[in-house]
Amino acid sequence: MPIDLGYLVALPLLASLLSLIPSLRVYTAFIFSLLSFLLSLYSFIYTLMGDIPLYQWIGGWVAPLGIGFRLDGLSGFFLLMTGIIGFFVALYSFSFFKVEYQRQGKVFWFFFFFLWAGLNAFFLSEDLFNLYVVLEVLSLSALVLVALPGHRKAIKASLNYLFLSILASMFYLLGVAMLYANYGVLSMSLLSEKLAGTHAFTYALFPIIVALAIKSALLPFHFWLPPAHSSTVAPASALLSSLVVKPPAYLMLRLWLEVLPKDKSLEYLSIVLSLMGALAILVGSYYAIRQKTIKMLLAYSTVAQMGYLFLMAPLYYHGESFREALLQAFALQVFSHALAKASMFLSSGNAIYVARRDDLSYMPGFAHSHPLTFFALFFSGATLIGLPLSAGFVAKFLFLGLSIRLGFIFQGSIMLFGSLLASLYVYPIWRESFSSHPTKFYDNPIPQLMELSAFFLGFLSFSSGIVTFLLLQGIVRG
Amino acid sequence: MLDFALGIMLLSSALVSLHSKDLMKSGVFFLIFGFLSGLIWVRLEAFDVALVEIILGSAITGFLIFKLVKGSKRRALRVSAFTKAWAGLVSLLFFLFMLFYLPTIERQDRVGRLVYENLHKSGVESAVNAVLLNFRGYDTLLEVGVITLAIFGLLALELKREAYHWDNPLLQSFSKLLLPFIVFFSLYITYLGTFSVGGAFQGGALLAGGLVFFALAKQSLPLKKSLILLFMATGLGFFSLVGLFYALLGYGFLTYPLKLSTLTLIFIELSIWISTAFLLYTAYKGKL
Amino acid sequence: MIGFYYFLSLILVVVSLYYFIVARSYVKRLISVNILGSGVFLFFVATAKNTTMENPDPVPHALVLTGIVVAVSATAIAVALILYLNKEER
Repeated sequence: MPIDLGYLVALPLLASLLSLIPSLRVYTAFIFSLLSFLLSLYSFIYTLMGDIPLYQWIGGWVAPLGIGFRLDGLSGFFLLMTGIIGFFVALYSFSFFKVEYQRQGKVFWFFFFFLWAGLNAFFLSEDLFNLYVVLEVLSLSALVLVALPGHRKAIKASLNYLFLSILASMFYLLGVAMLYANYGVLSMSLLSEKLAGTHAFTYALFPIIVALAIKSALLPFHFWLPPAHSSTVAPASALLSSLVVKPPAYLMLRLWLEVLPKDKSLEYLSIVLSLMGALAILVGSYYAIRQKTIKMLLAYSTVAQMGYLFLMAPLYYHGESFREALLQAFALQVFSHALAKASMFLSSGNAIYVARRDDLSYMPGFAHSHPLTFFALFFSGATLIGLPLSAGFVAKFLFLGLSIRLGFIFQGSIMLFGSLLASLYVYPIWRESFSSHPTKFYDNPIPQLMELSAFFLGFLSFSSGIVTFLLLQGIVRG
Repeated sequence: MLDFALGIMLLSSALVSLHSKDLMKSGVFFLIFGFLSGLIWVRLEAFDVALVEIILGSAITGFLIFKLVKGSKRRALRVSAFTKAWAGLVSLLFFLFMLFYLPTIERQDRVGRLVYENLHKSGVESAVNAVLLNFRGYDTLLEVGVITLAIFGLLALELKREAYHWDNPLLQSFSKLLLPFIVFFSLYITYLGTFSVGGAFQGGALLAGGLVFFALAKQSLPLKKSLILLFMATGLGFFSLVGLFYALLGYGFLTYPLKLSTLTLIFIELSIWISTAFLLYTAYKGKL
Repeated sequence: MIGFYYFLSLILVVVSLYYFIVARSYVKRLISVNILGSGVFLFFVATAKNTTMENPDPVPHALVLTGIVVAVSATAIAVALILYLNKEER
């Protein structure tokens, strides 16, 4: 046993409680975000060198009796993603809550660390019921983060999110109960053995997939996302849009590639999901292009970018011989979008801070007055579009190669078209920033840390495309 | 026969609660629904679930919903025929789908047998509590996390609202008399959990009920706000510290050595008991 | 008998799903999602009884206990948010 994986969950939980003590808040926030980041980094490095997949049975009770942690290439990579974003958002928040929203800053850290614990727990867990509880941890902390500004719009958005999220949780729980009724186990590794050659699981899969689609805002269920992600403070938006929507999609991929056997009905399901994903890309991009405010634009862009993960569903069904490449493409798409979107939301926070309003037309000349934030927007925008060298490019390149090899030309072309649309909604941000008529609003001095953390996230999202070989090593190993 | 009668009563209370245009009526029938489902858990020999359902699912949720009904306008908006039609279609399709599914369930032994086989190694004698505290203790840690998160969440949003209470001197002195008994009885239920029906959530919910009654009778607890906050955080804090402690000692996260397991679990139960009580009490009050 | 309880849980889920979709007030929506949850819990508890052992399976009982506590937590926060919105409206 290299390190106890329990630290990854228990330490952030403890940090959230400690952050409630006013005199300890700053120290707790700093020490524990650094500690959690280092733990994530350590787990990631372990997946590059150690024995994986690594199972840790909590309490020493092996499944089906107990619950297990499972660390493998994919979860290690996503732990790293959570660690990087968590750390930089923490750095940003130190300055942000000093200059703005001081009241919210007092409670922000509690939910921040809870969210972090939930994300780590989600990527590590291999028990379906445990994942239900973790999903609740995620959605409740996300919900409070949405309501944090305390104005009417935020409360309404968070309430709508809450209702859909409870409904989705109940559907998920129903699916888990159905699986338990039929197969008598909750652990994913045991389920994969028991499912082979049976059909009953396809029934249970339906409520689970619907629940995961609601939670990751797939098209007919996307309407909760834009108001929820755009109405809150910048660091919270960054966390929500980059990290909170990802776990359900991750679970879906896990189920698809590792648990479910091949079954005809799954093929139909994958086609339906793929069409919904395609629509999500088109509709999400269309609305993103039409937005006049940065935050709404970014929120709709999240709807579109999540669409890619579902668009490729038929590949998950047909591509078991390309399992490794699929996992790499998926992981990189999630990673690049998460870093880029976090950077963009933090940058939008900077822009709103100096311009005192959330409006695209209030950004002229931003590149001249605030080059660091502009570069953050530039790098992360390039990643969202998938410009060469960026991590987004490598992800789309891998997906494109797979869809051509497996004969899914439709999926491949929708993805390319989606990139084109992305450039249409990212371009206005760049254009306005470069305008030679700077507006006079920019005399609000902005803390250096806010600019730097946004910049580093954007830079990492772009430059990680160059070192994908290293990043994806763990996934290659298993 | 009793099962059918209970089932039909349950279903009709649900239907009235869902369909009624009068929100007050909905609330009342929701309470009845909770109580009836408690009875059904008893019929299905799920005594622990029944205890929690009647105290938590029925009483506390019912209280919350009543509070909500009082604060809401009682107007019903018209629903378009189109919405009704597609809602009906979705529900009907789902119904048919599940109807095909139900026959695929077979009578089988699931994890239950393993639980009984390992019960002596868990540190408690009651099977449900062995699962809750030891075999799936990690779930329970996160569950304590969820309830802590929710209540601190509503405190953090500072959604101020007026308190609601009854002005009745008789009730006030009665509540003063009653509270010590409830404290001891809820502790007893928590303690019972180690070998039979009962446990920390059940006991905590009962104490919360007592505290809510105390608050309704316009009494305030002689406790400092910081102490109440500490009580609320105790469950999660202690539980995760215990997990870390055993991880640091080298046993593993939340892994208790057999000799210490009973003692550890009793302390964990006590911490969950006190924090559940004060969390639910705060959930009712809506502020510290 | 187990079959009856399975069927009952199914009806509860389906009916409350219908009312969740048509609900136009937050209160009704909250009630319907809670009843839907009870339906799911009933399914789980019925499964616990659907065994060849003498005692019911304790695992679903523990899971349902967790589920109830989680549902109450979500309800508590929903109530707080709705009350806040109501107060704003006045």
